[in-house]
Amino acid sequence: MLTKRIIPCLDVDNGRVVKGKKFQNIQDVADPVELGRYYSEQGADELVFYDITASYEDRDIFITIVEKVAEAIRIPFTIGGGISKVEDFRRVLMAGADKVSVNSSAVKNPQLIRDAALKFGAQCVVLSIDAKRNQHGSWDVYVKGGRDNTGIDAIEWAKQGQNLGAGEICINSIDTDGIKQGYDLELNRILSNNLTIPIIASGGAGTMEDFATVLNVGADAALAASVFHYKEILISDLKNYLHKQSIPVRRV
Amino acid sequence: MIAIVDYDVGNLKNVYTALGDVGLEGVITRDKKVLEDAEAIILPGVGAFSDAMENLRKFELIDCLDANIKKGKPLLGICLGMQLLFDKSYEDGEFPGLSYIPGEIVKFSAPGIKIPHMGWNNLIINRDSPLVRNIGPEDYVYFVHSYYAKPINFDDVVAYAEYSVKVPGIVQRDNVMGMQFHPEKSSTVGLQLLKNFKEILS
Repeated sequence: MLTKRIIPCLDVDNGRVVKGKKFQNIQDVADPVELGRYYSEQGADELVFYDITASYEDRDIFITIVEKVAEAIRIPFTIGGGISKVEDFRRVLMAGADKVSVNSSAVKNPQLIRDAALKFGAQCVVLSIDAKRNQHGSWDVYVKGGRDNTGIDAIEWAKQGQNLGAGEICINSIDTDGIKQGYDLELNRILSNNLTIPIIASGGAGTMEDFATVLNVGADAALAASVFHYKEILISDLKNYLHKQSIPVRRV
Repeated sequence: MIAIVDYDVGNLKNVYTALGDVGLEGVITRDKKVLEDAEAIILPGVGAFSDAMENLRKFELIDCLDANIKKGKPLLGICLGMQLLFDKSYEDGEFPGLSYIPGEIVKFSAPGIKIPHMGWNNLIINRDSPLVRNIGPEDYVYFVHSYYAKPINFDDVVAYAEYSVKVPGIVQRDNVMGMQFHPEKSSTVGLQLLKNFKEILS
């Protein structure tokens, strides 16, 4: 039986993993390769590394990290951040990444999704969406690390992304991110009902129950960062808990 | 030495690295002489079926593969590489494959299932083979694919996963073997499977 996936997310700046609350107050955590290996041994199903480096020169440091991660771990991992061209896809895939996630650049140029899917296969194109609830009861797509509202409807954008060839949607709720009060369940439920590609829920995990709840409303995977980085939740414990809740998971 | 066929279908380094984990020396190559000398051949691959076959043709590798198969050399296709082993695929049209295993590649079509079949699924043993030594029902491997193999003889399936249908995970017909999932990305279970492959060679 296909299992639900648990995915730790590692934001990497200048070669180190950092975790900020609401994209601010960035705090240094650990070496990305070591942390990646640790999560892999704990039973993480995949890993996501976001390059949050601002300067162009530091991109080379990041590619070296991608290569080291590919050497060190034997589970799939996704790379995001700073991907704006098909050539950027090629570079990180050749460095050993399995999937590439695009966000703002795909909003600016939706064709990027199609071009990359045709060239490298839909399975490696993850459309990451930062969504924030508006006063009309729907969600707007935000770009530039959650700063700019595009006014685009998040559900419609996800559907368009699927039609363009994305293999997966990672939906990050800005409202719940960093608050640790649970994922945006309504958003994940609606997306799951409207899409045929897998959904990764992101933003808001605080307790093991939060994972169970969002996976039960239809998310195929749940992503989290700080609860794992600060060892508030161990992935092995989480897997055992989810198993007891009759949610199919892979336990190691 | 194991030849990993390089025909422009994505990164092959991860396969190379995982072979190293189990003590197998891989060589990423499209040199027919190296393929000839290799004790086994691995055909990896991601992307579209028709592009992959086109590249095999472009690099004039098909005759070489055919000849090595006939000689009894072990061949392991991984992911798309496994799909190429069959007669034909219906991915975006209808395209002939290598025809080493009778059957075709079709799209998942059950209502309500997510496509691609993406993530960790467990292997159910269909028949005995040295390929599944030490593999049990709680062993999960990493799949990511939208099309699956429909062999004419289900006995060519060594192990399958349940995803609306019985999805062939490991296939084998004599010296021709295939894995639909990614053993190089399937943690310790994947390494056990590659170890089993190594045992077959010795």
